[in-house]
Amino acid sequence: MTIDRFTTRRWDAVSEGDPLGSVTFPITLRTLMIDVAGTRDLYPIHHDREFAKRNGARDIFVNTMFYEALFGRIATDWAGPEAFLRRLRFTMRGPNCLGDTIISRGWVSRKHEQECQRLLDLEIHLDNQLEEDVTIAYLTVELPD
Amino acid sequence: MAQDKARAVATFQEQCAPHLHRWGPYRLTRDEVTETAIRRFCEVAEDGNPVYWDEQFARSSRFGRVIAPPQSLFAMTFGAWWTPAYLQDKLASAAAALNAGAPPAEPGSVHAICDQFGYTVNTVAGQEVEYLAPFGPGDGRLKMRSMTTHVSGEKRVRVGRGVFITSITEYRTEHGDRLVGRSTMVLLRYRPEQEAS
Repeated sequence: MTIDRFTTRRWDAVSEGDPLGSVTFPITLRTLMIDVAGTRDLYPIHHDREFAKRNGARDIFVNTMFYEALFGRIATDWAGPEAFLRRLRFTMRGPNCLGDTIISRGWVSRKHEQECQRLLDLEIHLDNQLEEDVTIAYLTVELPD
Repeated sequence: MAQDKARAVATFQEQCAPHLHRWGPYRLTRDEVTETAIRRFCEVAEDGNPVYWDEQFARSSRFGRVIAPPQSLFAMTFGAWWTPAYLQDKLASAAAALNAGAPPAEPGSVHAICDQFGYTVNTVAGQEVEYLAPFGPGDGRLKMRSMTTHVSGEKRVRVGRGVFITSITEYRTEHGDRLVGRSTMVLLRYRPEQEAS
């Protein structure tokens, strides 16, 4: 079931195993520049190609705050604007570099109530054109009553 | 040899012990959380959630106002790029005022001990963030404080020998002193393989 931009998913309408929408995100030089501007991270490994290659990286790559931004977006794009991100953890098994394209897949891994909060655990995997599971995230979002 | 190593490891943890479970000083961001900062963060992953963008919608939502994406907490507290000297002085006084009272732990003392033991390179081994309450424009700046909660003994890792340092950081709003986030980070500090004896 899809919902519009302004509607939040109803607790009763969610089941464990429900798939989240998939996002395809090409990592261009523009992406990486907006990443620096928006997250304030000036570490050269994210914008200086020579520095990145000198330090063993394939090329410049998106920073950890890009993943925070993307995972949060995927969660509320699916759950709706009044869902609130409660918890986020992710593992980076490899970089997503300039020229790569990220594709996400995710699902509801658990539906539970805790201290009167209606919580959904989500699992989101990022693949790129080179490998699967390059980044894996575990989130908890709270739906309104 | 093995006994010497065991003794050295014990010494590392013993040396760190007095520095554990003690809050470091509060740090204060230079800038308030603003709609502009929120929008610049949302551009990064093209997040169009209307509670971050649309004042009218946000006011009618359960949050009652425009909020920052919770996941922008680290970006919002990232260090400023350049600040004039007179403003740096003002910010230092503001931070000192926050820390008046109980003497905080010396920041970085566990890391200084790591350096002494040759664990000079660091990399984030794991991190988890809990978002405890919404924050946004009107909350002022953000303040942070950290404490180290655990240090491991020396472990053999892929890149050499190292220790795992666990710390937690709390994030609060300047206005209202509301706790909005708490992160737990596990840092690996290691002695690169080629330098290991």
